[in-house]
This record gives sequence, structure tokens and C-alpha cells, in this order.
Amino acid sequence: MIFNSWVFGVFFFIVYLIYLRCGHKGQNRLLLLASYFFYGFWDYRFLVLLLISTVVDYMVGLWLEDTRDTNIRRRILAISICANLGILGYFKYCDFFIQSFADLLRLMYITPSVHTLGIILPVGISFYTFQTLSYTIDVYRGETKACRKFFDFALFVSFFPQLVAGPIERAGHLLRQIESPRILTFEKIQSGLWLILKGYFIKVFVADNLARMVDPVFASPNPSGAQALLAIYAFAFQIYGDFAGYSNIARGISHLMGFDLMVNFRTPYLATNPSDFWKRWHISLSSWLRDYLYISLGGNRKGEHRTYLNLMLTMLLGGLWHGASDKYILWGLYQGLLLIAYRWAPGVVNIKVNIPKFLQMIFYFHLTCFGWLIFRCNSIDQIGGFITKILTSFHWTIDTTHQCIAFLVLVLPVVFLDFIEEYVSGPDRFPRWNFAVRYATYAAMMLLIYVLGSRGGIQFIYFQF
Amino acid sequence: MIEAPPDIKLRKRLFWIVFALGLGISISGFILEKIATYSLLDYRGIKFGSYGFNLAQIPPRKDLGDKKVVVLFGNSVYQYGSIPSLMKNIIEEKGDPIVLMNMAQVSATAYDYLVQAGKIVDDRPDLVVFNLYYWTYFTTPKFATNCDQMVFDGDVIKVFPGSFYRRYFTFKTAFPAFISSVVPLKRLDPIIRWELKLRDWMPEWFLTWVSYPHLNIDQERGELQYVQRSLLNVQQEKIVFSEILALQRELLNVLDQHHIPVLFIWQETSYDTQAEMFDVINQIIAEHKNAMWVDLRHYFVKDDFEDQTHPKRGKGVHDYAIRHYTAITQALEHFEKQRSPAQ
Repeated sequence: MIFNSWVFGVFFFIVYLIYLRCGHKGQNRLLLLASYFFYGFWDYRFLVLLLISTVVDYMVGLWLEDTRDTNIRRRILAISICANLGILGYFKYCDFFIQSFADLLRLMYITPSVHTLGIILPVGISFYTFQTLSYTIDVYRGETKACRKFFDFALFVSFFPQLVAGPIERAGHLLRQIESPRILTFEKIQSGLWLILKGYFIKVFVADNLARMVDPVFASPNPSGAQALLAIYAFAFQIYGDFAGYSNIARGISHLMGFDLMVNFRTPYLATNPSDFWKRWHISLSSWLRDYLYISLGGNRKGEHRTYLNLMLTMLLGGLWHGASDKYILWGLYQGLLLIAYRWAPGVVNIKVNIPKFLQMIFYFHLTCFGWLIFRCNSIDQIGGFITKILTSFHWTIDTTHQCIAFLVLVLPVVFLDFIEEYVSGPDRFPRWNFAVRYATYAAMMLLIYVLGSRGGIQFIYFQF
Repeated sequence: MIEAPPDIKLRKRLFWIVFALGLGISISGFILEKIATYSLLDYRGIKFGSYGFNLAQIPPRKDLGDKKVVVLFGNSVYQYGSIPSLMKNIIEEKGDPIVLMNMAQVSATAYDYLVQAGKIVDDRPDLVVFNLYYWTYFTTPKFATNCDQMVFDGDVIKVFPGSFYRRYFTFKTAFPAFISSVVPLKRLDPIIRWELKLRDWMPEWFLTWVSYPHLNIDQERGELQYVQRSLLNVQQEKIVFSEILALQRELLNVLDQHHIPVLFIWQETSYDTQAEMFDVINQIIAEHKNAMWVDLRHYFVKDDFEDQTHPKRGKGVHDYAIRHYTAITQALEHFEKQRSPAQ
């Protein structure tokens, strides 16, 4: 059941109507039931995994809170980490590691007989595993209290708006909202509706249409340089529209129910450097990696070289989080290198030129796009192929002009929305401009979704992670 | 005393707003479908129809006097071709008391025929005609069908056998079909777009880079390749899908239970149907006394057909129309006689 489907529309309509008539306890029970139904609609067998994660971390949380001995607490935490990463590792990485090991043996002229397990990846497993892990770590660190009500905790793990593609919430934020009654306000409803409209707009109008420019080029054995370049730009906005669109809808739906999920994207392509970018892109994951991995590794407290190592390890794991594939590891490595270079360069190269912010944005956008080429490519060879084509056979045809116009039609509204979010209104609302301008914008967005927004429930890219 | 939550008023108000909105969207679809009373034949650009299939154009019994209602189902030969209109001319010239309702749909399959039949039993036509073409009839039980959009309509669900739903629907697949029945705007959308001419202001090249879909797109992808593959298999193995046989039986049972006579016409262009496959279907038809079939395949003359499938327009087609019409009138007489002794 995906947000851009009729089934979800009817599902949410029914759930929401009942939700509005229930008290706090009833709302929580209803949401839990709805969340399990929502997840089970994909594949009911994987509900067992969700339940295992929930039960283990619920018990671990209580146990941690009732134990004072540091060594025992550490062992208890290890149970949660092993259980969660064990499930994640088995379902997400097992086949990859078997295959990689076999490849390694082949390099040593040993030909193994390889049997991968053909494991189906449960949707959203990386998201809820990280979310529930953050809970036990927070309880261990004493940053949050253990949840004593099982059903509330189960809802924290399975809350349907963010279950399958985030934002990856923290117990201190979402669990507290579950435990205490939510107050619905007119402003919350207003911002919820805006986020939903914006989310659908950038998903079904922008991202899904851009997919029509991206997919054929990456599938083509011999695209022209112009096509390749346009496809990379298009993918940058496709993945942004797709993922930020989902996050916006998730946040919007939550607002309608009185919840407040964390902001997951904050105009990422207006970033001027890698550190800035990771404060704007998939914030819930980057802050998770920072708080639970980078800092646990020592962060920047153990000297310069160790900081670089920590940065690299964190970004490598961030890359691997996206999937079991060489390209994601390479992408993580690239992001790690960017962060290290950004930290290292000012101490070594002393340049005192004041580069306008706008140019910094454009420059860093292109570095990001190179990262997206790694992320999207079908093989490592394709990266070189695309770059060679762009540099050596840049054929511009009338078809490319048409494609370029269509690209601008799709992308300029996103750029516009990002600019007003950055400089005028903030992430959750449209600026309080003149009534006519506001409603004309809403109407235009709805019309574009209706007339040109793709249908048929195209999956969100991040569901595969 | 437990205090009421501070947002209780807002939640109550919101409940009624959301409820009214949902109900409004649903009801407006039903109203639109009823008042529009469009004919599917007016929307030829919308292929693989049954979008908002509306049979409101069948006149009520009381307005018909002693006229007999004949409903034509079939494929593009009836939908686009001139045979039905020529038959109507013949009726007018002769002054026969027959009303011909052409509801043929391009590329209709056994599945579509069953669902369409389910839609008209309440109208009690005097004869239902299925104009069969081997290519769409034998290659696949379901093509790019949107008849799924109607299977949970009240009039269909009450006459359909449970075996049909069990065979085709799981909880997951039933959901989109069910939504079409309770929110008819979904299936009306292509017709609304057609009427509003939303495409006209966009250059063709622009539409190669953006999608122009409609709300009812669930079933349409990748079917043609499947049909082409299965056509080869079926022809080589000379078999009829067991699913088609099941559909055929269900179709005949549904019409039988409502005492609606049915005529199957093997249209001229089915000339190269494998004899084995042809016989299997005809045997099933022969088991039902309210059903009969007529074979027009041997009247196929290559030069009269543009693409081996669709008859050319013009005078030459007239003979084909006469043969179809004769088959219909003979079937009407046959079933009339069959009914007479009982009355």
C-alpha cells in the first residue's frame, strides 16, 4: 500500500474518520491496528519480523532501566543490537556477502559453487530497525526513559506514516507524542494539508515524470553526452522529489492526526558544502549516523586522523545502509571523501577569495550530481562511460531541446518551492501571501497532479532501502 | 471528572467535513454517471473501454411496447465497423419491432463478456448477441480489460457466482476494483478528460516526456505482449484455456438463470480458428437450451476486409450486415417458439 494509490486513500479515509472520534487510548490502539494492516498489506509474513523487533527492544528497554550494573547493561544492549542488526544483516546483506565472498575466491583462482539464498527484502526494514535501535541506545545512555506500555511502544516502532520510508524517529520525540494526548489545532491541519499537497506534487508530478527521462538513458548502452548529462540532473531531482515527497506526505498525514514528525529534507540543493548538505538531506538518517555511530566512534575528539577515519566509516555505513551493492559502498566512500576534503582543505590551502554563495551552491550541486551518478549507475563501468560521453560526444538535437524544456517545466517548480521554503516561509507552510496568489498556487499544483501526475502507484525509490 | 480534550470541537467538525467530502466525491460520481448517459460508441478513442460502463441508454420496458430489445456485445468489428449501423438501417426499412443496442467493446474477451452480461440482466433484453473473434477470444481470458471496474457494482455482484470472485480476486486485487464501484469518478476520469480536451493545449513532443495518465490506469500494462505470447502457444497446442471454458460456463449460467436467450456469432474473420478449439466452445453452448451459435466464418472474403479483421466500409459490407441480421431474427424466432409451448 503506497501513498500514491487509491487503496491508501480509502484506507486513510476510514482510519482518519475513526481516529477523530476516538479518545487518546483508542487512537493509539487504532493506529497500531492500522499500522500492522498497512505493513501486512505488502506481505503479512514480515509482520513477524516487526513483532520480533518490537518485543525484543521493549524487553531490552525495561531490562536496561531496571539494571544498574554497567557491564550487564552493556550486555543487554548487545542483545538488542545483535537481534536488530542480525535481522537486518540476514535479510539485506546475506546474499551480497555470499556473492562478494565468492567473487573474492574467484580472484584467487578458486571457483566456488555459489548458492545465494534469494532472500526477499522486507520493505522498510532499514528504517524501523534503525528507529528501534535508537530507542534502546537512548535508554542505555539514559537519554530517554523506557516505555512501560507495550502497545505504545509497538506503535512507536510501526507508526504507519513513517514505517516504510522514514523519517527515522527518536523515542524522545515520537514516543513521547504517543504517550501523551495529541492536541489538534487548525494550524496543524493547515500545515498538514500543505505538506501532503507539496509531497504529492513533487512525487507524482515531478519525480515520476523525471523517471521517464532517467530510466531509458541509464538503460541505454549508448546514450549521447547531452542525454547522459540531462539524465544525471534529472535523477538528482527525481530522487529528491521521490524521497522528500514521501517524507512530506508522511509528515502531513501525521500533522492531520496531531503528530509532529521530524523534518527530513531542508532544501538540500541549496547546500554550499558537504557538511551543510548532510544537515539538509535525509536528516533523520544523517543525524542517526552522527549520534549513534560517529560520536560512538569518538567523533572529532580523538585527533585529526581519527576524525577522518570516523567520517569515512560513518559514510561507508551510510552508503551500505542503502543496500547491499558495490555502488552504494562507492557512493559512501565518495561522500566520506567529500567530508574529509572539506575538513582538511581549509587547514592546508589558504585561499582568501570570497566566492558568492550562489556559485558555491552551483558548484556543490554538481559534486552532489556526481554522487548521484554513482548511486544510480547500473555498473561501475557505466560511470566512466557517462563521463566520457559528456566530455567527448555531446550531441545536441532538437529532441534534446524538447527534453530540456520538459525538464525545466518539471524542475523549476521544485526550485521555486525550495527557494520560498529557504528564504520566506520555512518547511511546513506556504508563505502568507495574498489570498488569490496562495489559492491559485494550490489550484495549479492540484491541476498538474491531476492532469500530468503519473498514476498506477509507482513505487518510491527509498522503499527498496 | 474526566475533562474533555481541548480539541474536541475541532475534531468533531473535522470528522463531519471529512465524512461529507468522502461522501460527496462518491455520490457526485454516481450522479455524473447517471446523468451523463453517454454511449460508449461516442468515445472511440478510449480503447479497452468499460470505463464507467453505463447502460442507462437501454430504454425502460414500458416505453418499448411490443418491440424486442437485442443487446450486441462484441469487439472492434461491432464497435467501429458499419455492420451494426447497417443492421439498424435494415430494421428501419423493414419496420421490424426490434431495438438494437450496440455495446461492443474493442478487444473484448471472455472475461469482459461475462461482466458485461452481468451488467444487463436487470434490463431483461430479449436476446443477447456475442460476436466472437478467435484472436481475442482464445488468446487470453483477460486482455487489457477494465471490466474489473464493474465487478463489485451492485447489479453485477448480485448475479455473479462466487467461483468467479474466488478465481480472480484476492483481498489485494479486489480493493482497486471495489473502489471503482464505490467511487465511480475513478472510472469516469478518461471520459471526463476526453470531454475537457485536456490534451489539446500540450504539444505532442511534450507528452513524450511527461505522462498523461488517468485515474483508472491499474490494469493496462504489459498485456499486449502477454497476449502475443499466449496466442502462439494456444495456436500451436490447439487448446482452449481452462479459464475461458470456466468463464463461458459462468456466462451461460448467469444468462440462463435470468432466462435471457443468447446467440453467439462466429464472425467471418474467425475463419482460421482451429477446429478443435471451435468445437469445445460450441459443445458448451449446445448444453444450454437458451443458447445457440451460428457460424459465419465461411463467408469470409479476403478482399472485403481492410486488415483481415475489419470489414471495409461501403456497399460490400451490406451483405455481411444482412447475414448478421438474419442470424439475429432467426434466433429471436427460435427462442420465441421455444418459449411458446410453456406459455
